[in-house]
Amino acid sequence: MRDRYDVIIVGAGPAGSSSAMLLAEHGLSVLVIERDEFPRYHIGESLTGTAGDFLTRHGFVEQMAALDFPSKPGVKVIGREAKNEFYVPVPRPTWQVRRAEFDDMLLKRAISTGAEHVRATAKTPIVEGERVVGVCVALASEPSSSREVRCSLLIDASGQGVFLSREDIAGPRRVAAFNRQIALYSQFTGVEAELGERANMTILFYRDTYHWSWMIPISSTVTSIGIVLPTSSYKLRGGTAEAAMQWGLAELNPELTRLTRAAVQIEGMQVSRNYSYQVDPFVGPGWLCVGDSHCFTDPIFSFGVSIALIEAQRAAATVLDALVNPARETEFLADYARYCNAGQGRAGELIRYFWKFPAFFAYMTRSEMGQDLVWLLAGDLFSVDPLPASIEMKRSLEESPAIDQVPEGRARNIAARIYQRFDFFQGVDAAFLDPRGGVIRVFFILTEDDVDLYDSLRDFEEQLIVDFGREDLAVFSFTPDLLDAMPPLADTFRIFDRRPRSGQLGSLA
Amino acid sequence: MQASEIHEALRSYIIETLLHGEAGELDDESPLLEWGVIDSLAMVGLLAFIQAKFGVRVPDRDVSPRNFATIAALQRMILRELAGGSSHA
Repeated sequence: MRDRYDVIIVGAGPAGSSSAMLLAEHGLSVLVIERDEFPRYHIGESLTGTAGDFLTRHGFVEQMAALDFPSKPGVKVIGREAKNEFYVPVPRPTWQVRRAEFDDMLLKRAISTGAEHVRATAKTPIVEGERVVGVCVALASEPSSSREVRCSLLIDASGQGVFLSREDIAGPRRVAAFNRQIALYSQFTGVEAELGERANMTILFYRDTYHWSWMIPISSTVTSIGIVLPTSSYKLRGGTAEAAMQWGLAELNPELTRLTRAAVQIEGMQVSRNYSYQVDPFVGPGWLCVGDSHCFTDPIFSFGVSIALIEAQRAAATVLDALVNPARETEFLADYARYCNAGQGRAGELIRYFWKFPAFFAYMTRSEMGQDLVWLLAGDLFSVDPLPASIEMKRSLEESPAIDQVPEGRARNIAARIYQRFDFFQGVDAAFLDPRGGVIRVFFILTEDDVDLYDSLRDFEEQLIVDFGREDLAVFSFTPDLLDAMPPLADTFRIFDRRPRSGQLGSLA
Repeated sequence: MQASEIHEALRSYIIETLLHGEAGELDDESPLLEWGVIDSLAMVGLLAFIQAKFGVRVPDRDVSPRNFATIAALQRMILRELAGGSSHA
């Protein structure tokens, strides 16, 4: 390891290794810092068409075949009780992968292209004035030591570790709408395989909002199965990964039960909780974040690796531009951030629309906008102009007659923000806004008394204050046991209200 | 066809077919989607009903949550289609 590189990359997952490969191809000196010994397990086994393009373009096809990574023809979504389903093909070749070997393959390529790799933990960024100029690392071989390494630009590809956010260089990690989810997963043999042209497709099983399951063949014999639940539902199923998996295989969807009749679990259970977040800002003087280190939404459409690869390409181009023309670094980084925000925004809209309007999503796959969905699900999220389907989804998510009734200005902007953020947030049943007397009061009615939920709400309140000012703004939350203490809401504005109604409507909802 | 006839026909269909005869607190602004009244199968049935009853074949671009959110929104969409099918949702 030298004392100085053009670029230091924290993390050797797909975002880090592909950035390293692309920069090393251009003759830059690149150091990749990775804490873990590769190959190592990681979740995120399905790629989209865009990721397939990247791999094809960079000559990985033979290696992918040699590693027995199944070709992925498309995604099937099976509805509640297996009464309906739809299938979306991938328009370009792509794969299902075992991430341990896939990530190792990318890292090895980065190294053979000329990047240097060191097993070490990034401790703290080195900052001079406003600028990040390097990082202090502890080598795996001498963990108590600390060494300074300098660079012209630092790429944070630390994934869910969100290194620069934790170090207060990037913005805080803000939890997002899918935060109160828990995913538990493992690998199985003996899963009944689909044959023919849909062999090795991803299957998503839907039960009801936020209860879903994935089935992804990751070799000719092994299948990855995951069960995703709201945390509240997880507790009801016994609160252990084993119990929830058992429940999921038996009860989530009859087709899942049928396909796994003879399945044998061959690995331990893995669990991820509260994984949905965003970091903003995620670029600054001397640094930028790529992939999960600044945003992760919801794993349902397998966008993780694909977004990492797309952002890595843009990040590499941005770094090259900034090194050639340092005076314009700020502008290049702002372009990069806009590019990422557009793509991540569309991914988020697609996912929120799927959850909020599943019937309309299914209809759209068969409608004149069906081809747009094929492209979006293939990972074409970063195009300059949004596709008609994206425009429709954004409108449907943002527009609400209830918001239009709130007086224009600060009150309505706050109402709109709450609607977009919480309209189907797990754990918040209703929101009302009262702008009378010049003070904006927001009332949340919560489903349950839950510590995680308070964290999410406090986080949201902080964002409201940052964006709309602290003055004349008050947020109140009421758990079911405190509803009696709530002021009358009759003359306030209802932003949304999903509390179960009396009689049969309650049981339907 | 009068707006009031459309309204009455829609309301009856939703109560009889989708709510199994129990109107509960259903009104023109009740959030049908948030209440889970309209799922995939219900939507197909509702589209078929709109075509049979009002002679309106709802074009793909109008099969949007904005037009199915409430009885009032459905009624506005049908009136718009009857008036010549201008597409703004």
